[in-house]
Amino acid sequence: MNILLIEDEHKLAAAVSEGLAAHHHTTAVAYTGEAGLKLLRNGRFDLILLDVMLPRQSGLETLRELRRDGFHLPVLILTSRDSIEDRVLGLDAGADDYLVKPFAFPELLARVRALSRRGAPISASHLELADLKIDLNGRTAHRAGKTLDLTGREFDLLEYLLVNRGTVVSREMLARSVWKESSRSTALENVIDVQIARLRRKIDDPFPIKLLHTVRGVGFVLREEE
Amino acid sequence: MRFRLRYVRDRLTFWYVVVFGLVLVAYIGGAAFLLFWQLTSQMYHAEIQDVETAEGLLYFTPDGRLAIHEEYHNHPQSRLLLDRLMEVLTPEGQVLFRNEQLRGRELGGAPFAGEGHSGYYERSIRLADGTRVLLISHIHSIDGKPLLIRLAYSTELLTHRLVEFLILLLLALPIALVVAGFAGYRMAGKVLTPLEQMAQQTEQITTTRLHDRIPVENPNDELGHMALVLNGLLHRFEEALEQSKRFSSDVSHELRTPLASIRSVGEVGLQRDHTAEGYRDIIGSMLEEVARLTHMIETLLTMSRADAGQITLQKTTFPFMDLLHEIAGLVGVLAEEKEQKIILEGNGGIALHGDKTFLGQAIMNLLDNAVKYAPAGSEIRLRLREISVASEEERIAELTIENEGPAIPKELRERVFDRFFRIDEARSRDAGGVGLGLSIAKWAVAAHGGEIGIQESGAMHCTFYLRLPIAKPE
Repeated sequence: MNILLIEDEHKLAAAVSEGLAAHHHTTAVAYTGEAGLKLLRNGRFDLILLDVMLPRQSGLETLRELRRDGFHLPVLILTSRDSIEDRVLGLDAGADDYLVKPFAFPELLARVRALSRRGAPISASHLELADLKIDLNGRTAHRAGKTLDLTGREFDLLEYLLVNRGTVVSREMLARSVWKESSRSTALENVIDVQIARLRRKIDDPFPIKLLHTVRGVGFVLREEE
Repeated sequence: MRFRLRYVRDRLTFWYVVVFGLVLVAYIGGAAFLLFWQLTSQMYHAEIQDVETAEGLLYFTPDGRLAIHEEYHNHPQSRLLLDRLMEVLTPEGQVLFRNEQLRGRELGGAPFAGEGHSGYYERSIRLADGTRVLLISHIHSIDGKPLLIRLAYSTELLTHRLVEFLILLLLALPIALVVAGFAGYRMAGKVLTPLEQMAQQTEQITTTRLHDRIPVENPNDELGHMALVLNGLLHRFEEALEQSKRFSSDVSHELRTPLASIRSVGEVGLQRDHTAEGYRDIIGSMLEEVARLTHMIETLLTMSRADAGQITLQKTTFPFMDLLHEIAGLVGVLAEEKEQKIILEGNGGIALHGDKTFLGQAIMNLLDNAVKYAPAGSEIRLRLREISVASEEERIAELTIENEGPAIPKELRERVFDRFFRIDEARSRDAGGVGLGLSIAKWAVAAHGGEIGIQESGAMHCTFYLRLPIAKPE
């Protein structure tokens, strides 16, 4: 995907574009809204990542201008303010989604992925990774032909990890998507850690090849190690 | 533009003088009226006596004219009465006698039917030349002939005296008002001086000298009350400021701790070469601290928004027990890890009206704490019941969360809800807490009109309670 990143913080811009490149996205970076609009008019992009606090022309002004000029591509706003008014302002200005700084990189990746496949939801009845298979309709899971005895929550967790297989998911993403809790709390993070540990006991412990990995300080990932 | 006096003292004096003047004018008017009424009735009384005297002095001369004995004039007491005007008529209206003082003027004109028949008839009339007189009429028989005797005095003298009296009083009025105004001004000043002093003293109290208080001279009078109220306000203000100071210093301290870790881990990590695995560990460790910082900042923002009243609760009505089941189910895995049992019991019919997310978070924090501090294999008991309160309007639900963890010392029971407060610094830091869970719980419960606290229980028991108003039936 071609992504335009408009962000005045050089360090963050460099980190994000490097991270996106690692996931096969090409990124053009602009440090001001004006430069971003110029790039946009001269190139082809699938998605814009837009910082709200930009020098001179603000992110919201930039957003309004590009919408006025007839650009309909999805825009993901990056903001350090997360009051409800700020979110509403951003969405009113024509943003498709917003992400509050400091965001976890897996979170950004997930949003980018969600925006790029918008309108075309993946509907599979089976998901698999190596010898791990789950049946979404029957809500059953198997590994190496053996049935795994999972609780409802464990199944939801496994499903989410499988949908995002190969990419790291953060605790916040799990809290929101699997536990449906919007607010962060230490208690919930403890719960997530325990649930992951239990899931690991069931899907990995009896088998020689481990699939569920913890990425320290970031989150969890379901993948085959090379 | 409306006229308005700037100072309270001037306004008080102004109104004092106005009211005093009005009272004086009313008083003077009343006194004059009373005097007039008294003098008039005295005059009528004198006239009646005079009529009686005159009747005895009237006689018919042999040629049939009516005359009056002249010695009457020598009567020493009647000097005033020399001014009397007198007319005698037949009941038909024929004038039989007019005294000299009348100088030919009519006294009352033709008699009306029944004039003077029953006793003495009093009226006030005006003579042809405009003189106002008080007239009295009486029927009296002389030599068997009924005669209508009319006798009158001029009210000139009376009016004159009354006017003199009024002028005297009205002349005294401005003097009285000036004196009253002066006295009122002094008095208002005396009353307001302590207020002015209080204002000056209050002015000197600044944020750096907030511990100063206004001296209270007499706590029972209005000014003393005012001073007490102001002192109370100052006290609360000082406390709030103190708390806010402590909070900011706590915040910087709390932010510094993870920052110090990040810095040290990074610096030490760069001191020598590591394997890829080693670097991953170093970065991961730094990221963990970053996550902690992020979480803390988010929580602080939520709290500052709550403090500023910017959080709107999304209220719904729901069974309390459902929420408890939900949270117990969530936290249950933590308890299972420690082989603890969470037991839910109590009244399932209690409904709450509130924000499920915030209340849920409050209870989750309490339950998480209970799991953390209770020994492995113990029981955590959640009891829900309705407690009796004096008010019929409001019904209160009480949830107690009891665990077999160490009791919280009495002196710390209030403080555990303070921001960043930790009973055991090292221990809860390891458990990943930032010391804000309970203060968030306290805020959430208070925002729903409830209260939260710790109950007195045995040495190896810790019981938190949470009281919330029960939803009113629709």
